[in-house]
Amino acid sequence: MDTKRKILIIDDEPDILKVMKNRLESWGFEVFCWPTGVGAVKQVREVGPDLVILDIMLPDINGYDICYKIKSIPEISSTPVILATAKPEWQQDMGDIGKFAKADDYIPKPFESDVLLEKINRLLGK
Amino acid sequence: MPEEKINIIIAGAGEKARALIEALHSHKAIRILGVVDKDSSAIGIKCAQRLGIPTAADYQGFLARNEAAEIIDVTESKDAREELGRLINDNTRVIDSRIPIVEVLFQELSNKVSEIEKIRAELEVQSWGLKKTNEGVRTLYKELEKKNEELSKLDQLKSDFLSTVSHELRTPLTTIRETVSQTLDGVLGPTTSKQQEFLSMCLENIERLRRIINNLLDLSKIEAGKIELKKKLTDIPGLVKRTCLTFSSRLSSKGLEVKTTFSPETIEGYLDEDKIIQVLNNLIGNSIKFTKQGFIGVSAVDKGDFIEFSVSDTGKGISEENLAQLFTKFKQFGQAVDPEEKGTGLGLSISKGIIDLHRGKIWAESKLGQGTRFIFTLPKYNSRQILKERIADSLKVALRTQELISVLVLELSGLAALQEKLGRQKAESFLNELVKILEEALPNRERIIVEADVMFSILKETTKARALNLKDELLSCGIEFLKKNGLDKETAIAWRVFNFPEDGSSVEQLCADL
Repeated sequence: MDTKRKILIIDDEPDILKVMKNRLESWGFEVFCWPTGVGAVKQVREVGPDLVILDIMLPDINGYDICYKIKSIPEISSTPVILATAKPEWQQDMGDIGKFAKADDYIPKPFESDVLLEKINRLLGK
Repeated sequence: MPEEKINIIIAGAGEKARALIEALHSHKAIRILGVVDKDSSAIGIKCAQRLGIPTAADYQGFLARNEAAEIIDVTESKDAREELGRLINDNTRVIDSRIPIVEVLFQELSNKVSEIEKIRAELEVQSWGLKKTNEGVRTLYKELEKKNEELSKLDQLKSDFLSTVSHELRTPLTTIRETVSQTLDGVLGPTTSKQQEFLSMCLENIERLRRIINNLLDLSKIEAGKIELKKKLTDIPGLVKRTCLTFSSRLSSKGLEVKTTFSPETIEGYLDEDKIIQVLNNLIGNSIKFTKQGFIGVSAVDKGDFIEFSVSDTGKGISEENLAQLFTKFKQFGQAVDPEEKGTGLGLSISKGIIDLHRGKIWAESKLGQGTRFIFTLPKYNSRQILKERIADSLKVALRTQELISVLVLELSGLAALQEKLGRQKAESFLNELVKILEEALPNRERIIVEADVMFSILKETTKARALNLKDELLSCGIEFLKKNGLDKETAIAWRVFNFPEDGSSVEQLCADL
């Protein structure tokens, strides 16, 4: 039996978590949500997702830092991370800083679902 | 001042004369040359002698010896007055003794003094004025500084505000968009066709709102001078064709055609690709929007000093009155042919901002019912200017963060001879190979940028000493390569290395000799 691929969404907006979870589930993923920066890295370790969608502007910890941390822990460093933000100036340099934080891709909010799916599929090697 | 003393001769030596002598002999502004009276025992004569003032008995002789003096006539006898009257000439002045003499003299003196006073007062006023002006200027300067600070704070606030607002707008928009789109996609269960129709409209409007937010942000950034162009040498026909290609489905669905013309066939421009594409997108998009049939023409022409782009259509045209307000924010003219193509009213303002940043011009020509032609120009750069600007741009960023930075410039001489020997194409590939070899010698995958016959590299966090070492390595690599190809006679490599902050603290200083 085909086991479902796991995606962890880290975002402080409950509504966004809800709609994204719904969308990702409709695509057949198993979705986990985490609403804040604290404990986010721990979640990645515990859940062991196949991919992480990480909001940059979390109330407590900057998403870039979380991404960098994920990428520097050997057991989880290979997990693909997609950065997301609605913050305009970050959208501009998300590419540059994202590279620095070793993120695999980034998506501006609001996003188009097919663009997101395409990115996810590419990173999961489908 | 001593040389400006008034020389006087007192004629007569009575009581009046004595009073005069006593009043004036010690006066700073007056020198009594002498007292003349026939009566050597007169009280005035005695008084003068006591004070060491010369005396004389002979009017004629004394007055002749002291012509340049003012004679004060205080003679008391009619005879003496008459004699004196005969002797005086045009050069002398006689003060009538019948007027109280001291008063007259003091009057004269005080006139002089008041004149001086007046001048001094004027000077004082002037210096006071200057001082005040100075103070005023200083106050004004301080005020300006304060205002400037306030303004830049406001500016920061404004852009922070816009950034926050757009974040705050985009976050709920993300949820709304996803909800509508999931409903439309049937993720949330089946929908009727009527619901589908309305939800589609909703989605289009969400897209529109998103465009407005993006455009507002773009425009505010342009207005706040926060946009930095990432200019590079660009193949213009390629760029135009690529841009037109993205419109192909919209064009074919409207039965329109796009025609591109380039003169000459290859044009290179020094520009920010993304930004110019944004302008072209806006202009071509507008043209498609307002054209029902016919074609869209896009052209680029090298005019020597500048490159002229144009986007023309066979649409409905713009009235003269509207033409003047075309680049005003939120001005939208005419109803779009397709309702789903509603604009934001900001596109042309943004385009103008982008062209202004490139130091170009943008304008439109139109005739109602015949079509519209948008034209914009971009200045052309020679390779030296580009080199200078590219180095300056890279440095600007480095200077802002105050990091240590070195610039390594290598100049290949005899490129023309090389081109002649190898042919243009082969010379180019030779140059590319050289750059590749040199890049391999650089640490941290630093890049070498080529402008005609000059190569340069911006070496971050590199001291001048390290840069000079690198230069030596690069030179030996380069020369070895030239020798290997038997080209070391035709060409040579000149170099220059400069460092921030060692060789200057501003871009101007650092790039001065380029």
